[in-house]
Amino acid sequence: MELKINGICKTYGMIKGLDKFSATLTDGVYGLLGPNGAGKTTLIRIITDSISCDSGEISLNGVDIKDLGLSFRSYLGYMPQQDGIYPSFTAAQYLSYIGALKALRREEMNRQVEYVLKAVNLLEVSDRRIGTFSGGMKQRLMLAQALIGDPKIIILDEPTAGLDPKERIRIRNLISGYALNRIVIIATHVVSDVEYIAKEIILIKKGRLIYHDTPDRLCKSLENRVFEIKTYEENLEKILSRFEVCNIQKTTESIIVRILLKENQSEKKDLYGYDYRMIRATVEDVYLSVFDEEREKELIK
Amino acid sequence: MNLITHELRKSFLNRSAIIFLVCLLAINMLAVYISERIDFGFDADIRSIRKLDQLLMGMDKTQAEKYLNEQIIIQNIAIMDRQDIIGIFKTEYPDYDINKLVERYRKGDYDKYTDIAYRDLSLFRQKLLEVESAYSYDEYIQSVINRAEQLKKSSIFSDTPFTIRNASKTYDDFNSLDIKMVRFNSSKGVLCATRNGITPILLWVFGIFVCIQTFTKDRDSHNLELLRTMKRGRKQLMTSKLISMYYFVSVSVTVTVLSSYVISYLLYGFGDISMPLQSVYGFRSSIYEISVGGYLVLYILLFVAVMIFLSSVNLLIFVTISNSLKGIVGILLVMGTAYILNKGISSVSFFNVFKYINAYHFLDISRALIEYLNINILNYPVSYLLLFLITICVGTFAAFYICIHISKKKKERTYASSGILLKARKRKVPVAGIFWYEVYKSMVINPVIIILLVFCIIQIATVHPREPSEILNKKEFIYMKYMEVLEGSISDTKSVFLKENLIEIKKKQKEDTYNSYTDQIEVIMSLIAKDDRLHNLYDVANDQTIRRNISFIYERGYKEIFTDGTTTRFTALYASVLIVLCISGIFAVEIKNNTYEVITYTVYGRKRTFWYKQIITLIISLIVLITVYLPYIIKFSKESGFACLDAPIACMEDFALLPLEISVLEYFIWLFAVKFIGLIVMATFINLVSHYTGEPIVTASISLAAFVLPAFLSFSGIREMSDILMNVFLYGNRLATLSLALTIQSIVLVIACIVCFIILYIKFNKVIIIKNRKPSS
Ligand SMILES: Nc1ncnc2c1ncn2[C@@H]1O[C@H](COP(=O)(O)OP(=O)(O)OP(=O)(O)O)[C@@H](O)[C@H]1O
Ligand SMILES: [Mg+2]
Repeated sequence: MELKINGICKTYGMIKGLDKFSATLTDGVYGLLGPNGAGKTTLIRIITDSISCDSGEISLNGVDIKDLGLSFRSYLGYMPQQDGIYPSFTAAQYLSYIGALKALRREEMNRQVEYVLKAVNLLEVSDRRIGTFSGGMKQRLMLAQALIGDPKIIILDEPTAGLDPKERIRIRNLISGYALNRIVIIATHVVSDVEYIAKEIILIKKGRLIYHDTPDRLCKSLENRVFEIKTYEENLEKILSRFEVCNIQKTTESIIVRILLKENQSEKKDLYGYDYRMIRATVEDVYLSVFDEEREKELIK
Repeated sequence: MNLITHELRKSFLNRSAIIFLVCLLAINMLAVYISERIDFGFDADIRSIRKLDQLLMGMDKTQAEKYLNEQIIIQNIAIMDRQDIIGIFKTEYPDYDINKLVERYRKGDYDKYTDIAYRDLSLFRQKLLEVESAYSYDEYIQSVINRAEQLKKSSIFSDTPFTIRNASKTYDDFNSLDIKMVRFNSSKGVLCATRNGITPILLWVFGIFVCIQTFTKDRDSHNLELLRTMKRGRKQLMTSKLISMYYFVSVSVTVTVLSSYVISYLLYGFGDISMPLQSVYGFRSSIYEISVGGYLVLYILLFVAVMIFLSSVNLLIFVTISNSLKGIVGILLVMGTAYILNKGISSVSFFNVFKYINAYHFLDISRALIEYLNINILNYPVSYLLLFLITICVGTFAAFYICIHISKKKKERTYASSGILLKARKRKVPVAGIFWYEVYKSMVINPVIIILLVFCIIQIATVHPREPSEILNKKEFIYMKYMEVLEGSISDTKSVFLKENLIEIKKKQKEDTYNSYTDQIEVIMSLIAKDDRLHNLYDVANDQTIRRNISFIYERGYKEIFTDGTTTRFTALYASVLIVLCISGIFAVEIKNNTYEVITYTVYGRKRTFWYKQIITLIISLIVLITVYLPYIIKFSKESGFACLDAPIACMEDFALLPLEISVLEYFIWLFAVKFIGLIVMATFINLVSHYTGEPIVTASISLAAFVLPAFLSFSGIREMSDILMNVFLYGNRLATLSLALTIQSIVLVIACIVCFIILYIKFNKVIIIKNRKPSS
């Protein structure tokens, strides 16, 4: 399956929500990364045909989704950013309702509802009113709702917000299991959610596509720029002011600072005198490098 | 104690419980007020009762009787000021100087209360009854004692041992009674406060809600599973639940009854509350030596006791059935059985204990205090109050005990079977169509069913047919009697009958010295005129079937519905309020819960949801139409009947201008079709607003201002308002007669409604009309 996004523009009054966004998606997990207000939700809403775009088109296997209409929606599983629930429904009722809306047959329903409830670990509370659920439980229910009916395109807007670490890992594994023959799009700010399972990462900033590549190649782009410095408390001030710091780790006798060299800095010149070693970049580093430069540019302006 | 406060806070001090209580209070006060106003007549000033009562309380027996009799005579003269009437009064009231009274009437030197002569008259008559009843208390007691003594002695009358024992108990009870100085006392306030049918029914419904809050909330949300791991046992938990429920019931019953008291006090006052209870009209068979004030306090206590008893029983039903819906059905069944037993068993039957000691009869709380009643227990008479109290105490205690023990067992069983959830329970996934989920969302979550149910109760409590003698004056009564004979198609025999009857009555009138046939003659004359008019219509009409259908029609019932009278204005107000309350949430619920985004990405989420919502809107409008108008139609059909549905509407004088082709039935259907269209137009506007605002409350306030305000203004007497906006449809009569301005207005409204509908359709379904596709580069 191939979902092709071609030159999507969307403006909200004066604000540019999306600006000529294009990408081609095939089976696998896509991590959609970007800071608040970058346009992730806007893009997703356009893909799900919840709002219309000003220009551009989206096509599935070469056919415009507007022409596909109903049959396009039958492929969709969508988890919105905000919980959309009826507090007085029970979890099972809610899922069976959404299942019915997704044109699931009655015989299928029983199996599907039970399956997705088990998948998100809510089977035990399936006949409790949703109003009594905790935030994380609601979040999982929303995910279950997206998964029911075996959709071929799964779009998740911040699926792991508010989940505890155990559930987060569960969900991550669940999603990667799903992605074998489906398109899965995950919008998130939490890099670790998509870092290891994503086939490709899409970085989006101010409505514009910045990077679109596999995690490996993204990390390669930062080769020779990520270092770890072993130092002591008293030097910390200086390092913080000088370098882009990703992480600070305290050990019993010393401090390990993970830094990202800026474009105009070089290993030889700037790291001279420190006890340092080069390490492999992660997607988080890429994220920081992309979106921090941005902040700096604004500061200069 | 801690557990109880915790329970109380969890179940009853939350928002929905408080809102429910506030609604209960508001509905109670409103319903009591409305039913009192309807009973007295909307056009009359209800405070006049209080004024008159106060005046009478300051008088003694003779003064009061003299005053009332004089007023009655004067009002009679005011209604029929003729020489012959005065003659009748002279013989009927020999002690009064009729001529002087006539003079007073001419000078206007008499008291007016409501400014409506026949209302004043019936008010004075009623008060005369009350005055006589109050001052004849001693004689009444004596007569009861005498009768009991007679029965006791002569065993011929007594067929069962119960009768004799009952007689001797009655004798003892009344003989030992020591109540002196029963004087006239203002009773209407006490009657309204403690004998209205509305408060008990509302509180009973409220009781069910309380049970649901107490029990099912925890059960449905499986909190019980967590709670049972607590240190304290289940027994304490259930006890604290029950006690907190009792506490809440007591508080809400007290507050609600007090609210009825407040309304009654504001309307009528309670008179002299230090006087004995027997001074209240209708309460004189009571054998309890308490004052009116004491009675009012005791009433609240008894009410609380009854409601605690009933809610214990209800909770017991819930605990045993352990399913909220079936529980409610169970409660309804129990109450239904009680009702049938109460209505079915004769009061003198050997089994009359089931008639009186039963949940339905208990709801009529004041009876225990004001009525003298002995129940047959194995042929021994036992006082009703005693049995009542024993039943309530024992019943409550038993229910309490069983509840605790049942729930203990139940919890243990589920615990065992779920056994730390090793064995997966068989889960039932609810499978229902989209439509039923939509119904559930729009009518249960959005509390349409409750609103309509409460409204039904209000309707049943306030709208009931009355006897012709209560509502008709003499002439109208004669007219009705003639119509009973004449109703149906015109014929020569009827014309002849009328003419002969006129001659006959005129002859009688001449022989009669009191001229008592004047009214009748007038009525016959008007009927003859009517007959002539109908015959003219007959000649004008050229279609045979129309000719055959031209009939005498008794108009009274039709007039209430076909003209913009009180009934029409009132029902229009009701209908618009109901539509606003019921429809406001239907579309808003999706936006408010953020579920719009979820359902619209699904296959059926757009079109089907939209159309089902529309269908539900239609259904609700239809139910509103039925619940608002059906009780009134039944009332009028019982009071005056709706005969001659085939006859042309032009047979009625008020509709003489309409073409002959339209029959009464057609007009009837047309009128209600117009009203229904009005409701749908309103509902469509509300749906659109609801989708845009996404807030039921905001929608309701906007629509209240837009739709209910005009209905209310025109209800409160601003005639011009009845011709604008939705009132065009809701009143319907002027539109039904095809008045041009209204027709244009209604067409504009309908077009606007269709536009709204289309906008909503496009918005909800995200239909894109113009595809703005850029040529791909
Ligand atoms: N309905 C709307 N009306 C006006 N502006 C909007 C609307 N929705 C989004 N925007 C604007 O569009 C831009 C992109 O918003 P979007 O919700 O897509 O961001 P996001 O990447 O999902 O952010 P977050 O991570 O916070 O969810 C923002 O600047 C936002 O202010
Ligand atoms: Mg977002």
